[in-house]
Amino acid sequence: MATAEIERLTYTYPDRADPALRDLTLCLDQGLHLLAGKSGSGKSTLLRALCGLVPHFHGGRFAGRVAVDGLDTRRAQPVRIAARVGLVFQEPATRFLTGTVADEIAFGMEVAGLEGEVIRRRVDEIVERLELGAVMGRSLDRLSGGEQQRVAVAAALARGPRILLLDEPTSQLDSQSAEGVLSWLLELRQELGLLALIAEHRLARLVNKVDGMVYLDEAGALGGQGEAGDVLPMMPYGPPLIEAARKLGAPLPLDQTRREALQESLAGLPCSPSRPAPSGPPRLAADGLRHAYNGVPALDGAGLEVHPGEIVAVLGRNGSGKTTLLRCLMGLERPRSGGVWLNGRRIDSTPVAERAKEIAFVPQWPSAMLFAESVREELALTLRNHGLQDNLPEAPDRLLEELGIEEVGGRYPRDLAAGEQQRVAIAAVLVSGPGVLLLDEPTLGLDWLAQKRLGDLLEAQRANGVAIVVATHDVEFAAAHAETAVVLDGGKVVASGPTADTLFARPTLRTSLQNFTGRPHPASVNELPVGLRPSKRSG
Amino acid sequence: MPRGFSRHPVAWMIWAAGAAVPALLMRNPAYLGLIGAAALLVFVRVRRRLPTRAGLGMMSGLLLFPAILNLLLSRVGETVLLRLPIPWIGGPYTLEALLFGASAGVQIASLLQVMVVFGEVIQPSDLLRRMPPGLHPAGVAASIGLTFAPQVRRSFASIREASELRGHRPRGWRDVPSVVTPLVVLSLENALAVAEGMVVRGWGQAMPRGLRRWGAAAGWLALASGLALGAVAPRQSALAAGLAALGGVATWLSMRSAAGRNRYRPEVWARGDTLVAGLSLGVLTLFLLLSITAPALLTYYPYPRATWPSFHPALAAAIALLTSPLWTSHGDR
Repeated sequence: MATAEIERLTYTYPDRADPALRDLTLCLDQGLHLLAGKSGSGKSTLLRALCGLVPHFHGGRFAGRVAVDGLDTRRAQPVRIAARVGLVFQEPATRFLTGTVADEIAFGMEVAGLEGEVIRRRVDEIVERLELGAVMGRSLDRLSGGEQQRVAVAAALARGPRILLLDEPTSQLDSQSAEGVLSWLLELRQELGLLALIAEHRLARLVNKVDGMVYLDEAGALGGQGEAGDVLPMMPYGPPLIEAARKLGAPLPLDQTRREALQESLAGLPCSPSRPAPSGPPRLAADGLRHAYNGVPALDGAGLEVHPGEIVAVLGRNGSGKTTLLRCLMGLERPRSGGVWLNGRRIDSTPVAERAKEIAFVPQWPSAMLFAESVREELALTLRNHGLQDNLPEAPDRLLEELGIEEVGGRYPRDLAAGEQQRVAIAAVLVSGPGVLLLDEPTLGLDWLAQKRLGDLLEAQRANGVAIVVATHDVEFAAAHAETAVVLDGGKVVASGPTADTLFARPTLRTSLQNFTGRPHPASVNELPVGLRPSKRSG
Repeated sequence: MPRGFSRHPVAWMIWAAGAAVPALLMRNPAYLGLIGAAALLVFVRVRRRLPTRAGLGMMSGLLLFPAILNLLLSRVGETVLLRLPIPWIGGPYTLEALLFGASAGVQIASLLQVMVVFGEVIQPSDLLRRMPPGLHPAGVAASIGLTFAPQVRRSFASIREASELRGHRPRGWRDVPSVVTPLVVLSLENALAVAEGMVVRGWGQAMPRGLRRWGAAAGWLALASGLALGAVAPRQSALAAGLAALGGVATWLSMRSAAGRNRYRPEVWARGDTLVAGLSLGVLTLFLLLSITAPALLTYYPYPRATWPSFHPALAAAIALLTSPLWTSHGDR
């Protein structure tokens, strides 16, 4: 049976004063374990300690002991540990070593010296399980972010490790792909006695499936360990069900009786009407967009409309064309046909730099946008590019304050946490006062607090009349903030309408609360009235 | 392997050696230009598109920069183009200095073009699978090196895109200084990520142990001693060659491993691969021999008075054989 033991582990990265992990003692057995904690709480560092990258690769000060499957990670080199422990990184694309999907999955087995026939059999099995058949012959750099993540998971599982460490493995995956990965992990737990430790911010997908949960507090110390139901109440946040119980004043942890009582309470709530449908002419519209990458269609007649003060969520499976749609709206891709209109004016031939005055776009990994010496300099750069330094649409310091990042104004942006980088990138494009904001997977890698701040920011921008389009897999975030949802499939719009109803109509897109109640409303905790009295049975 | 242009990785490695080694050995701009042209043709065939304006601009820069630098710094030569009566930087600027610098530029550009083709057709995994596990650090370095150019290209595109999103209008080469710092930052981050990924994937786990480890160390020592002896005592060439060969064999025997031999997609060696490898080896051997027996054929020294570089049609024909990937690509796979 695979085990991982950690005894009094304290680890500090080189050139850092504070430890990333502090006096951590843990014991994990076979099964699926969820690793939760805020950004910067040491989750990724713990995963690296378990596969030997810490301290062998990163250096630093290491005290205590870590043993995986009987191997002391300080004595055994990471390459030896690799035979027993697999790691899926948060940004897999930067770690690919081959050119195609099949080669990437097979690489670890080839390096391990497995027989060719065994390699081929395992690759076929994995490809079938993770539904990668359609992308098998494709070049890795032509895959969507979610597809790349599935390939990385497949490559890590290919060698049949006894311990699998996953750093936000489902963050870029649509719900079906995420379910596929999780169900396979559950099977491997049974068949091979696998121990999987999954670091995730999106708890809702996992809490009902895992055998155990580890919570790291902000200082990198153990905040709690045990069954998910027992650990969740120790955390300052939780998945939507826990948040709903808190908001309704229901007691925790949620045992069966309390769950049923909560279900009753939620069912007794009046169906909240959707936000009124936006009226008037759209701020940004697109219609009939067609685009292909190297002959592979990405958009097939897609389009959308977004009005001032409206948030539209674009949803769909990995590779359905969400990012391409946003890139076409921004002018980063030139669609083969179709058009884009801004305030009723066709802008197909308007260069990106000029569109950027009116349309702000933040890509999937916002760090790609940040290169200035300081956060304030990032904002100044945008203003200079637009020639607005003497005619400020909004005071940069006030914008930083609104976004809660005024304290890091003098810091180097790439040193900031993911959530802060996200807000700096948004500030850097909002400072020119655009009327449209496009966000690609904005909740990627964000902890609950950062997600909440992002949500508040979008609501504030909505109140200012900004039209917002969010491409996301995060149905909970979409349900909480977007009044309109557009669902893409194969580059086509297959559904659109009020968010809660559109999500409920497609079982794979339902939110936790929708699944829990079997009703379209409430779709998110935001719909719940504060302080509602719970059902009497919840005691 | 890019877009339907298959050749065995070993054939490509031999082709690259057949093109790069002569380019390193010689200074004759006529032959160097031919090597660069052959590599450019192969590149066009591999990528199925003409070089971009940016790529051609970079090559022109590589040609011009050494020429201008040498013109400004060297005061040797009889053909004076310009004479400036300024202390320190003044004096005669000569045609010979310009030509000598230009020949260095042609050499750099030709070598780079060969390496660009190599980077296109060889994946890091092709090298890693063939690298003895004992050469783990070299494998990491090679992977980073091979992924460097495409990564830089992607990073450059991503930085330019990010700049446009912030309202910056592209200005071509004038943008270069502003992207250097982010490019370096991104490249270092990517290099670290690649190295970390390789370690986690188990690369280098079959390091030689026990006696084989000592054998490998002794082999390396003999190989290095042989090469050093050859360099400092040319009269002891037989002993040096023997020592180097012995070291090479001992190293290979100690470091070989079963790891990486089996493939998901078995690599098939076709007749075309034999032809490419054979012809490239022939070119390599010819120029190695010439560098020992008739080095004057390969050099170009325009001082003291500018002359045309020597040109022998037979050597040009030999270099033309480096285009073999163009005409051996049909029907063998």
